[in-house]
Amino acid sequence: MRAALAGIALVTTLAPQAHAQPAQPGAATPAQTAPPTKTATTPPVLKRNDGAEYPKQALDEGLRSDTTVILVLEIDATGIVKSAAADPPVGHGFDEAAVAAAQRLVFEPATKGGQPIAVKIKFRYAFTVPPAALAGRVTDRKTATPIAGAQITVRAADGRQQSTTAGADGAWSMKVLPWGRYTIAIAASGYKTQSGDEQLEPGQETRITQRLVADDTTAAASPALPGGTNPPPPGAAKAETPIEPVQEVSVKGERPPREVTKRTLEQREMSRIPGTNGDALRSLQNLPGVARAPGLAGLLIVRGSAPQDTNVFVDGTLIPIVYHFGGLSSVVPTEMLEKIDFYPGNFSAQYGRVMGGIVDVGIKDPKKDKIHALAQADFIDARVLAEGPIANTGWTFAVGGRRSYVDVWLKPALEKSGAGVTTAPVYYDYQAMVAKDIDSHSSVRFLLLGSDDRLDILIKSVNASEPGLAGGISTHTGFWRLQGRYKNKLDADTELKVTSAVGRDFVDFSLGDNFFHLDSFPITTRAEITRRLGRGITSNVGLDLLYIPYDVSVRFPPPPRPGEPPGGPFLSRPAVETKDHATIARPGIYTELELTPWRGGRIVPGMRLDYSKDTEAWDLAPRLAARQDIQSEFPRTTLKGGAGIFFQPPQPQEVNPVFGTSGLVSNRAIHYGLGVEREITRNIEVSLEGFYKQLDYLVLNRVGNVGNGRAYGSELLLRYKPDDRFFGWLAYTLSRSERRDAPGEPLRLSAFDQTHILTVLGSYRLGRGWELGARYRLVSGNRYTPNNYGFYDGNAAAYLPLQDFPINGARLPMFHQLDIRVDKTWMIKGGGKGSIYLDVQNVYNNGNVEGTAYDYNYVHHTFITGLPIIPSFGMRLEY
Amino acid sequence: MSRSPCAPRSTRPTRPRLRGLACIASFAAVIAIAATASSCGAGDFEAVSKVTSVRILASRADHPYAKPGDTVNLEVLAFDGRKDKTRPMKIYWIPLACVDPPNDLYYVCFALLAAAGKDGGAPNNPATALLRPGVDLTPFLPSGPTYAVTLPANIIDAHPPVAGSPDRYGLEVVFNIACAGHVEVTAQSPDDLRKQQVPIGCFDENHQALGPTEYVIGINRVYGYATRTNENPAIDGLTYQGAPLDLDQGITIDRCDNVAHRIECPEQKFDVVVPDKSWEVNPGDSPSGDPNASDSAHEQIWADYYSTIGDFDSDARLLFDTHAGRVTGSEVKYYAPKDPGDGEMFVVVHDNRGGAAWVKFPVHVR
Repeated sequence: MRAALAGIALVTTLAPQAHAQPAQPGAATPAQTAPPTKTATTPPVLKRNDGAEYPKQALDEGLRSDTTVILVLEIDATGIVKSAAADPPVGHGFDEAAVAAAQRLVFEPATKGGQPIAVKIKFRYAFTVPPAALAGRVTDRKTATPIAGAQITVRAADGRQQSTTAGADGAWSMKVLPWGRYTIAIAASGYKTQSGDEQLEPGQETRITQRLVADDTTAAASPALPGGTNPPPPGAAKAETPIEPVQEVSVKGERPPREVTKRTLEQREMSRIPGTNGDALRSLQNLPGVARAPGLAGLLIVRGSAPQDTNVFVDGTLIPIVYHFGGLSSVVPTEMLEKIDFYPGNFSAQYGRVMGGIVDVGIKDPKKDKIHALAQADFIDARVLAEGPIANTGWTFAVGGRRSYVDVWLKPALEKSGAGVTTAPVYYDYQAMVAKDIDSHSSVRFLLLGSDDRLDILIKSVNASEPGLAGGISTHTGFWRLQGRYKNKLDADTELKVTSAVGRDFVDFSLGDNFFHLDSFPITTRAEITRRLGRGITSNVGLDLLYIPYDVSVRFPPPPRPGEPPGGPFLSRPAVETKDHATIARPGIYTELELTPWRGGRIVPGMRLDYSKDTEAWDLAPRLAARQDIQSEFPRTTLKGGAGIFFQPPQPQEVNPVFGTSGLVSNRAIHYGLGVEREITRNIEVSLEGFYKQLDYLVLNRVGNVGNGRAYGSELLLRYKPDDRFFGWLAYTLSRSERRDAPGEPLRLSAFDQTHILTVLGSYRLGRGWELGARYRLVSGNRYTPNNYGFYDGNAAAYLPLQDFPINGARLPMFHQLDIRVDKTWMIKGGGKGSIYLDVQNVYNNGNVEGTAYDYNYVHHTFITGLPIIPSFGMRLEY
Repeated sequence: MSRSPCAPRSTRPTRPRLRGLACIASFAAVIAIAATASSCGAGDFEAVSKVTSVRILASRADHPYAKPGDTVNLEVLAFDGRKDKTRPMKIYWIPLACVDPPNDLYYVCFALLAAAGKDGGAPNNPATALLRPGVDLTPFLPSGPTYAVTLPANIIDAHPPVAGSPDRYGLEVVFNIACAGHVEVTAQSPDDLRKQQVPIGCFDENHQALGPTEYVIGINRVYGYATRTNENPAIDGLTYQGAPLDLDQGITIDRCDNVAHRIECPEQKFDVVVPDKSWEVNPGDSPSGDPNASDSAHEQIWADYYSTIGDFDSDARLLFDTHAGRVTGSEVKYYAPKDPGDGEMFVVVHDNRGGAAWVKFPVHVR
């Protein structure tokens, strides 16, 4: 987790020495003029800077303007640049040039309390167009002998002139000329003056050979150019150019993780992973430990846990749904995100009430420099975003919105197929945010975000196996959250962060005469105080409140109990109903210590206490995570491990007297993890981790806390961290997920078991604004329970299958798929940027099996294949 | 995994384009129920509407919702679509009184049947003594398309109250079998009794189990309510090409060959006429709890189509939606076979509370 702002320094850049000049965290900073306190943070000081060349690619592409690249540098505790990435990228080779130059920078490391620390800073390279050069030789036309002392004068279009004299060999040169068109005049005593025009290109030397004709009537003189005065040459004029303006550099420290494993996806990775349409949350499915969800489903199946065992937060606030229509598109657009933190297990005590994994989505603060706008459209939806400062108030804002237009083409298609359509599938989401840095220690932010999905159709063709799946089907789901966040560095050792949110979640679903209506008003609060208690001891104490009053009314046939064969089609059993007004009240507190008792060691013991009003039970969950650097310097090698207890209260429907059962307690998981991380190069690191998850007291719906199980395996991640050219990784998970439906029953494989999950992906910037990426996945098929010929159900007018035993006793064929993405970005006049992309899923059109289909009486079956090759095209404009 | 909405249901004639649209429609349905995937691409199966084997096409009770102590007359519409009828099909009823099985699970009744075989069953029931593999039970089984059961007077009281059920009820499950052979008890695997197993089967004269084309086991649930009622839907008639159809005469049409797809054949349009009165209010089916409220739902009513020859474009069509009421465009298209012959067509109208009615008529293909 990113630490609070540790220091702000004002710096000036040096006078230009090369073609690009970085803005440097220099010596004349307020932070450095004051004597450092024991806990003061000093920014890194630049010790070595070789500069960067104006990229040839930009010149080849005709670019002739000065350009600035902002880099985000990660500087380790030794002052070495560990990573550099352009933010935002500007293309045309500038990013690559800046990153390459940044890799050679050397800093005096930042310090905190006198101890060197790793930091992340912004660093600016200002590229100026390189000068042109002109050289030549002057000879006698007849004899070809050099003419020493010839005067060469060049005049630019703006009238500025430079002169030089040919040497004894007739040669001359002007090494520094601004690019452009020049008139070149050459005069020598006894020769006729000659002149001509020449276009000089930046970074190039133009050579000319002039043969002068003898003219006895003229005297040697400086060649006269019309209207010519003799202004200083370009080099001199450049020297008068004001030095770079003051640049603000924020120095932020990156605290080591409080968890055994934390995987963070950066913006570039989120938006460019092939096969995801640039959808940030879909990118999670490419990380180790996350199983492949079928088809378009956006399920997060983490280390063999059920999807509901993983919670998704937006900056600490729980949100009820992640995807529109269960998987089409994330409810928070990628452009709003700064990063995604993913904890596949053994997570910090700050998170509770869940026993699978945690996804915490970080929303980007609005930009402060000027107003920015973005518009993006693809085949599914269109979105807009604007952000920037609010006049001179110190506040910044961001507003965004998205609407799908699937309905535009799907409604006529549905109607043509015979369905009556009242509302074709359509979704919206919206975001609004204002933020302010109150002072250098505190900030406040308010965020409103919401989502709305709706559909209303009438299916006129009745399904032979499930006649109940016909008629009117309507769904309207949505949520909104108004979140306030306050951060304050109370003193040198104490930080406070409070995040509160109120909102509404609603689901209105009806299928024939069955329905599910839910209206809830969640109120959540998280508050955490982090205090450094002494050298190597930091404590985190937090409060985590969840309060949700809700109204629910449901009418459905009772679901089968786990392990039971289905009770038959919808129509075969009388529906049951429930109507309830209740409250979920789940307060929780936690504490953690971050101990660094010795060099390279870090131990984080934690404890969390949760109360659940619906079960009227307390859950005490101790946790421990530890890391030890075997080698602290590059290449860093770290051993890590942890164990902890995680509780998950029953789902509301599980404690409902109609659809669930009473007397339940929380599900429980005990996580164990052990692994190693190692840097291979500055950009490449590898991590290997084994995990074991013991599951107890699992709620079996309408039965009780009688289930148990386990999930275990290992995860490998070989990752090339994003630089200005490339990012990518290889992720492999070998795992097994088993469940036992009741004590004494044999273990069976769970529906979320995928033995092998291999993902290889990468994206490379080719230059000239082109980027090419590919993703390949090879994953074990999902488990399923075969059906066999059974009975004819006279009440439902459909056949019932005989279900095989054990449940999930068969596996679908292996999944493999290649996805490719091509992006093209270009600069637009006025500082804008345009981009288009083509994201092709399932490039070789593999018929991946996603399920089984049966004929009407379950005698014959075949496999249902997933999505075919799908090209998706999108475009974006940014200013 | 259960059947996908994109799963093929029949070999009814369609063009690929239409299949794609159907897939899209199914996709909408999938997202509507927050299902997990949109998937298409499986191969074709024989249509449920095509009757080429021993089939039970429908069953009904004269009182789908009966009162305790009522005698309920059950009727089965079964048909033998096989070409070879050397062993004729018969309908047998299993005289097992499976009343109020735990959690209303029909397959729990099988355990009762298996238990009856093990311990000899009730001494006053001659069939139970013969409940062992290899013994032809058919002489002891009632046969024919109809069967009467009398609900126990305490059927409601004996049924544990179901949380969330608007009314208390009782349940009796009745089994029958349409079998082109004789009925025997099947050998249960002792290895794993948790596996779903059927205790009866259809066998030939050599006691070899027959396959799915030669038998169907039917399950009928008879619900007993104190006050709730349900009438079978009524069929006022059929229309053929928009005009009333004489069910005795049926239709005579030309065969259709020399076409690449069946859909290119002339369309024979059928619709079934169900009166509005059949669209009954479903008591207790109101989100507000008021059966007379405007949001109170009615029954869902649909029609299944079956034929021994030819093809339908849709196996079943919705007639009444629970809220929207009568559905327009409920007609079904029928395409003649490529060969001449005589066949039969069945139209079964169902409501979603176990009610059913049917008609049949001959089809002559020139």
